[in-house]
Amino acid sequence: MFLRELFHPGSVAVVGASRNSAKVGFGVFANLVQAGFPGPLYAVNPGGGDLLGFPLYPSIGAIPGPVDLGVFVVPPKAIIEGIPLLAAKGMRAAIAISAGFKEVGGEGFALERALEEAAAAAGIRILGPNCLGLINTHACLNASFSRGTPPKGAISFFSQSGALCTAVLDWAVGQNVGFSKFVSLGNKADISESDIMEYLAEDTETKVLLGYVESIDDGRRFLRAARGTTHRKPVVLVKAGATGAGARAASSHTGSLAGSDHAYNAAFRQGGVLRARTVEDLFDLAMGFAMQPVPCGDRLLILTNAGGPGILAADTAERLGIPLAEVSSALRGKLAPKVPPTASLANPVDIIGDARADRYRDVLEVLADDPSIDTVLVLLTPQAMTEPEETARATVSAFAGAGKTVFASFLGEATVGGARRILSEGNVPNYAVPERAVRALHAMRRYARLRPAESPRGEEPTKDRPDPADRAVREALSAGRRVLGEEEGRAILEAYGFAFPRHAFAETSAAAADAFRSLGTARAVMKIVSPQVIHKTDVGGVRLGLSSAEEVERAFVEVTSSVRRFAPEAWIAGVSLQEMIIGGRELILGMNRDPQFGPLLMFGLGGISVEVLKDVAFRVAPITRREAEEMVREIRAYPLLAAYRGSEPADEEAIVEALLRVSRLSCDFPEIQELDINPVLVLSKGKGLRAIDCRMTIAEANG
Amino acid sequence: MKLYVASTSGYAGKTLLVLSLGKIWAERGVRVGYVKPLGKIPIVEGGRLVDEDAAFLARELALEGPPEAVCPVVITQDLVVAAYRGEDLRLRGRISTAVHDAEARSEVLLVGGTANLRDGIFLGLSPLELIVNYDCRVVLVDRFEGETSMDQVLWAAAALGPRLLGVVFNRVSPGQEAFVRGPVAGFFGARGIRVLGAVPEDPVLNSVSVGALAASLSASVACAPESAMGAMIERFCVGAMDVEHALRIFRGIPGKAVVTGGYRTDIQLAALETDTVCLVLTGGVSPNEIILSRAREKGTAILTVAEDTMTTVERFERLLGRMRIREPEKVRRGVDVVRASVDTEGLLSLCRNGG
Repeated sequence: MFLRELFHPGSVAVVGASRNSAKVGFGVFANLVQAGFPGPLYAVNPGGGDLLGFPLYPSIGAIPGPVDLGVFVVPPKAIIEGIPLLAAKGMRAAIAISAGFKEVGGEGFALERALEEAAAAAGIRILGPNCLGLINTHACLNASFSRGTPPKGAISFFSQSGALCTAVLDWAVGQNVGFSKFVSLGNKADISESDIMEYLAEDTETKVLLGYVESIDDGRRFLRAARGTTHRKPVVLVKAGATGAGARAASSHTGSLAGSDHAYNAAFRQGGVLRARTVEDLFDLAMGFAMQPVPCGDRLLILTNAGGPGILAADTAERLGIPLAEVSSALRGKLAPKVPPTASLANPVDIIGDARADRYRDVLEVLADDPSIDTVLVLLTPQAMTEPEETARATVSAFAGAGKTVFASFLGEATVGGARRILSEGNVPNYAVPERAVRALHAMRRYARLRPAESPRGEEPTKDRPDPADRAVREALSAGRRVLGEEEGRAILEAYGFAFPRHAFAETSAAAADAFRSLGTARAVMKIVSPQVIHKTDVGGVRLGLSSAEEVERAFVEVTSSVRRFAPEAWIAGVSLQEMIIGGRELILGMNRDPQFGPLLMFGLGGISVEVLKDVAFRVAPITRREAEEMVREIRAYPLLAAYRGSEPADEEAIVEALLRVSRLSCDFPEIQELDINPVLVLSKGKGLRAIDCRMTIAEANG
Repeated sequence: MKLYVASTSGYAGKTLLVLSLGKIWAERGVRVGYVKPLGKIPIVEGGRLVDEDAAFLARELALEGPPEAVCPVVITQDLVVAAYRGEDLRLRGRISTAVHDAEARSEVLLVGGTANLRDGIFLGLSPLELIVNYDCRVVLVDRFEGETSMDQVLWAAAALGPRLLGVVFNRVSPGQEAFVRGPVAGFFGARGIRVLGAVPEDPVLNSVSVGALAASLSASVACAPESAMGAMIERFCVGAMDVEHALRIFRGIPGKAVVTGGYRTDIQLAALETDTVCLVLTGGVSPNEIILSRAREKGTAILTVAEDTMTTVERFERLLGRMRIREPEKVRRGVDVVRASVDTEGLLSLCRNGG
């Protein structure tokens, strides 16, 4: 709603325009004028006079015509008062550049709330506050206090950090990289990254979206917006606060509780968003997406005039799983006549140090035509005979209209500067080192694969929650219980199709021995049953491998005595005697409700795999079957689930089913805050899973 | 002659007194026996269920015979369930046998009581009845807590009558020693109740070894430099403040354990700068390499627990001062403290005269 007026206003008013060139109010107005905004511009300043040939109106009321976009460079209270006045002149969108809101704390919080209310009451959308402003090069609109306006282009950028905006702008102007939209989000009182993504998804002038975010307030909305955007165009984000230290800094900077980085990673992945680790990565990817088509396949050919850089590029490709294209004999036959006999025609193709532009051109023309290659990476090291600029021209012209993806990495600085400009003008991204080129290529391939194909259903809790589960949760809540152990959790999980080992409850050692006989199992497990004991092994409350009634009786004494000793405050109901599942591999399934993204599902292999190696896959629920399958295959330990050292392959299908069940349970029961099914044993193919233990934390659901 | 060691609440110091009297009197050539009719700390040792306290005292006092001779009834889940069901537990016969056998082997038989004079009635084992049936004399141990102690001791004295030989106050804080020996002893003396001693609060006796702490907290040991697990913790503090503040506080507290969040590397470093016996890191976070190497260098143990800091501190608080005497260092110290502060000689002659 009204975001169009933000990016494409017919007229703009700057409230707080200043004649003092040291002030932001001057910079903003000057940028609007210099960018050549075609519509009416109004400057408001109570001092009156004129500014850059425009009259300064003493008040908002004095503006003679209608206004679409209002830019505020006045103190907070004046913004809040000015909004209804400008809205009366037809304003649909506003930019609050001034600081002094939430970011200063205290009174600032109240002012920001008042700003939101003022905007809502006036029915307008507002960008900021505490931001740099906005640029739309295609509309000749620069409503920001940036230094300079970037050239027109296809990249759009939004950022929660104004300072980073200025840095990116500076880079864009310096590198002559074209930009389409530039949005500084500031405190995100109203307009968020999700709004911008949704709007720019439809924007024909934007080919690729870049962003820098510190926090995302409504994770589920973000995920929807991302899914809707990334199937049309790539979104590359830098999320600050990936480390513990970074997250603390982001929390205190933005005043919002840092969600788990796992949740961000999962949501980005599920939304098809590429996550750049550094700002440098962000630019590298942006150049690739903006200048070149996404490669249709994986097959990469590296062309070089020196061995070393070719090997470095090949190494990076191998590490990232990009296959180097096999040089077919047909291609070899076509290339051989163009190069000296000492050249290497394996991939990387090394046309050796004395290659001039003509040799590059001959080879590139062959490659541009060859159907066995999807992407070409042209490497050049400046040597005595090298002709960088001519080679750059040859690269641009060979691939113009070829439909293939081409990247360049012309190494060095002094002698290749001109060549770089030629490449950039010819829309061939050039990277300072070949590794960066390969990484950008990898990201483009990943984008092609990540595009979310389907949107999962079941975001809203279903009306028909299974009765036994509903009852168990409600009873526990009304009894004031918050942490549920195996006995209570079992009822809930069984209602969702989880299978547990056969079990029997026993109050005394004699009853336990009877239970063992009636279970008729070769080996049994004994577990303490006490509502106060959740971590059973910690208090000696579990015994495995019991194979006779006598052993069971002894174990009863030991288990109950140990709990009495280590947890004297716990009431012991008795023990649960269970069939011991032999074989199978240990898994952990879990869910943790993230403050921003909601239920975050977790999957890993039990034992050291999760605890020490942190080899865990995460997804935001609800998940699709495809996402569940990805979770299973994503962990490094996945090969252990396949046939391994004579063991049969695990029932992967059952794991996928189980993840989908946990996903549904998490969405059906917002009361469940945390859920751990640990361990779960997965049996061999076709035999399913057995949940061995579980615990969950519940709370009254909000709303 | 049988001397029943009673208390009015748990963790008063009965084990300390039995241990010390047993050792001190044995030095004087007295044959001291010990029996604990009802054990409430069940533990399976060598395949047999025993009371942990009784088994410890049997070892320390070099008593012969099987564990059931020292502790004939150990509480079990089966026993408790049967009691709730109102079944006849038939425990008295086992106790009689044990008491009579032990009495036959000793000149003075120390009878270990339960937490208070009512503890055991549910199982059909009333302490007061036991005292009367076996014709025991009684020494009462009380953790001195001002007026509460006055009430408890007066009540117990009335219930026990002339069988009560005297009272030993335990864990008397330094400022209160003169008060206990003066007005308190005077008050009781005027009513015919002897105060046999005031055992001062002792940092070593209150302490807990790192190993015992790890076991009680179910902690994982992330770093255990040589002999660090045996080191004794006398106090603990919580590291939840900023670093400068932490250093100032930490410097003032020797022999401490510091409980802090696994991510609070700053606090951990500050603790390692000062006299810290052990770091307890909460939240299931393993220490980083810098902390580990620093701790190894300093000989400080590091434990990690899955619980949060608050829960860990609560468990810690329950432990300190309620730790059972087990470590040799504490045994030695305990006997010395009792020897110096309790009239063991007088109690022995009271026993002999009374028995």
